[in-house]
Amino acid sequence: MKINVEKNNETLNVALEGRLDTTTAPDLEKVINEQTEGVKKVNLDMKQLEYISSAGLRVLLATHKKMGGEEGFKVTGVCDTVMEVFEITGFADILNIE
Amino acid sequence: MKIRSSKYGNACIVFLLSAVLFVALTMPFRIWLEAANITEMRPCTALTPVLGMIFGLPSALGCAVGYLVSDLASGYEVSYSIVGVVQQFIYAMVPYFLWKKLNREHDGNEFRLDSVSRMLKFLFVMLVDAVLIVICTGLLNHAYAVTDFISVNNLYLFLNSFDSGLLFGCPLLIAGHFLQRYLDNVRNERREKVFTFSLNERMILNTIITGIGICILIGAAVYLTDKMSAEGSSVGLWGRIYLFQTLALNFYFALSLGFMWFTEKRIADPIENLAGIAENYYVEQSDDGKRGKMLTACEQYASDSTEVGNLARSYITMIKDLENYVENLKSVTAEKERINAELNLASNIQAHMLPCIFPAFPEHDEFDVYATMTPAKEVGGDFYDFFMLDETHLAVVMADVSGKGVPAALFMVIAKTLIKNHAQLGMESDEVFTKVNRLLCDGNDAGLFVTAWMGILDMASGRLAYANAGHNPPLLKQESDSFTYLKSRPGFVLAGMDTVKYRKNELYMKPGDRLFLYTDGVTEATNADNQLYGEERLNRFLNLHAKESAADVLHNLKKDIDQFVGEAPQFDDITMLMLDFKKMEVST
Repeated sequence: MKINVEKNNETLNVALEGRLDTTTAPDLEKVINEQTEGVKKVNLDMKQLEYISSAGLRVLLATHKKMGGEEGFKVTGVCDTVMEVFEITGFADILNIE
Repeated sequence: MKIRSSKYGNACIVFLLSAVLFVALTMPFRIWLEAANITEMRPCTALTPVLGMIFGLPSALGCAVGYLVSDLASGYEVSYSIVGVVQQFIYAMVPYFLWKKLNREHDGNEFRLDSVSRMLKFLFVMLVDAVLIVICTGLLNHAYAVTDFISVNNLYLFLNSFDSGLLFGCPLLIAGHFLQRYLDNVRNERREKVFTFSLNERMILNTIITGIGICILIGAAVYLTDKMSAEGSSVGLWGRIYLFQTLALNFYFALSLGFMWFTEKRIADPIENLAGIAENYYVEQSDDGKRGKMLTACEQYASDSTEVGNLARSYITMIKDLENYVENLKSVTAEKERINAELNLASNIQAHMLPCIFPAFPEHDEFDVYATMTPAKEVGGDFYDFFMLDETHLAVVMADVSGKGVPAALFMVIAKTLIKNHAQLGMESDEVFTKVNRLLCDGNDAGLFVTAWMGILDMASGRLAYANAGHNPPLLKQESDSFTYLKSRPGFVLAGMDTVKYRKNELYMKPGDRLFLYTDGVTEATNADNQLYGEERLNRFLNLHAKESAADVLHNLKKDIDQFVGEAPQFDDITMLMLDFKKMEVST
C-alpha cells in the first residue's frame, strides 16, 4: 500500500493507494500517530483504496476517536467495495463519509 | 575443437609437433649464429628438456628426429649426428623421470611455476641436464680430439646449456602449463579460465623477462667493448660474452629467488593460509579443537608488523566477533522457540475454548449444529459459540476480533465469555450486545473491536431473534427456496463506541430451514490473481450442496476454498457454523 501525506497548517491530508489490511494497517497507524500532533482535522482520501480489512477499520476507528469524532476526521472517495464493508460493519453510521 | 581420444593419436601429435618445433627453432639460429657453432645460445637447448619433462617419450623421440633433420639439413656428418640424436633423447628423458620423482602430485598443476621450491626443482633439473650435456659432448669432443675434456670450451658449454635452460625453459614451461590447462578444459568440457597468474608466477615471469634483458644488455656491452678493442678470436669473444652474462644472470637469479622466497613466506603463504581459514570457517568453527587451530594459525602472523599482520589481526577480531554474534543468535533463537512453544499452547487452549465435540447435543433431535475454525496465524481472532439457554432456546454466535495474533485472541476470550454470560441471564440478543459493548469499551486502549452476530432460536415456535454488531450477514435457506443473505441493518461493531444501542430483528424458521454463519475469512479468501472467493461463489456452493449434512457441507466448503486459494498465502481465520432446524419442539 502507498500512503501519501500532506500537511496544511492544522489539516492533515492522507491519500491511500492499494490494500489496507493486517500487513499494511500498522503503517497507516504509524503515520497517523506521528503526524497528528497539533493537527485539528484529518482528511483520508480513499479514491485509490481497493480493499479494507478489520485491521484497517481498527485504525479508522482509532483515528475517529483521536480526532474527536466527525468534526475532526473525514473520509472521502470511498469505492463500492469499501463502502460495503463500512455498511456491513456499521462504520457507515459512525464515520463522516463524503 | 575435439581432441582425439586415442592415446597413440595424441602421442603421434606430440611427436610431430616436437620435431617440427625443434627444427623451426634450431635452423634460424644455425644460419644466423654460425660463427659460434659450439656454444650457440638457442631456445632449442631448453626445448628438449622442457618438452621431455612434460610429454615424455613421444616428444623425446620428436626432438631426436628434429635434431637429425636439422643436422642433415645443415650438412653435418651423419655419424656425428647419430650420437647427437641419442644425446637429445637422453637429454629429454632424464628431466622427465627426474621431475616425476621430484613432483609427486598429478593434479594438472604439476608444471606450474607457482612457488620458489618448484622453481628450485626446475633449476635443479636444468642443472643436471646441463651437466649431462657437458659430459656427453665433452667426452665426444675428447674422443674426436676436438678439445680436451677439461677445457674452457666445455665450461662455456655448461654455462650456455644451463642459462638457456633457464631463460628459455621457464617461459616454455609456463606456455606448456597453459597448454596443459587448455587441453584439460577441452577434455573435460569445462570453461575455466586458462590464463590466470598467481603472485609467485608473476614474479617468476618478471624475473625471467628482466633476466633476458640483462643478458642482452651485458652481451651487447661486452660485444661492443670487445669490437672496439678489435682483438681476439670470435670464439674468445663469445666466451667472454657468456662468462659475463652467466655471472650477472646467476647473481641476479640468486637474488631474485631469495626475494621471492621471502615474499612467498611472508606474503603469499600467509594470505593463502588465511584464505583457507575463511573458506573453511563455517565447518571448522563448530569443532572446538579446529576452532582453536584457526585462532593459532591467525596468531602466528598477528605479531607481524606488515600488512599481513594487520590482516591476521583483523581475522582474529572477526572470528571473535562472529563467535559473540553466534552466541547472541543462539540465545535469541532459544527465546523465540520458547515463545513459539507458548503460542502453540495458547492456540491449543483457544481451540478447546470453542465447542468442538460433535454432535453437540445428542439429546436434541430438533436441530443439528456444526462449526469449524481454521486460524491463519497460530492464535486467531475469530470465534463461534453455541449453547442452550434452557430446554427450548439455542444461542448461536459468530464473531471476528479485529487484528490477529495474541492481542486479538485475548480480546476474543473476553468477548466470548461476556456474550455467553449475558445471554445466559435470559437477555435478548440486542440487549446482550448493548451491555457487552459497553463493558468491552471500558479499558480498550488498544482500540480493538469485534464484529459479531448472535441469534437465539426458540425451538417451540421457530422464532429466531437476532442482532448484528457489524458482522457479515448470514445465509438463510427457508423451506425449499435457495439460500439468501439475511440482510438487516447492522449496528456498529462491539467495543467501538460505548453509546451504541443495538436493534433486534426476528424471523420464524420452519423445520428443514438452514442457517449458515461465517466470518470474512471465507468470502475474502484470496487467490494468486487477487480475486476474492466472494459472496456469490459462497451462495452458489451452499445451494449446490443443500442436500449434504451440516458437517459435510462445511468440510467440502473448506476444501473448495483451499482449492480456490491454491498457493496464495492467507491472512485471515476461516470460521463457519451451520444450523439445521429439523423439527419443532413438542411441548409436553
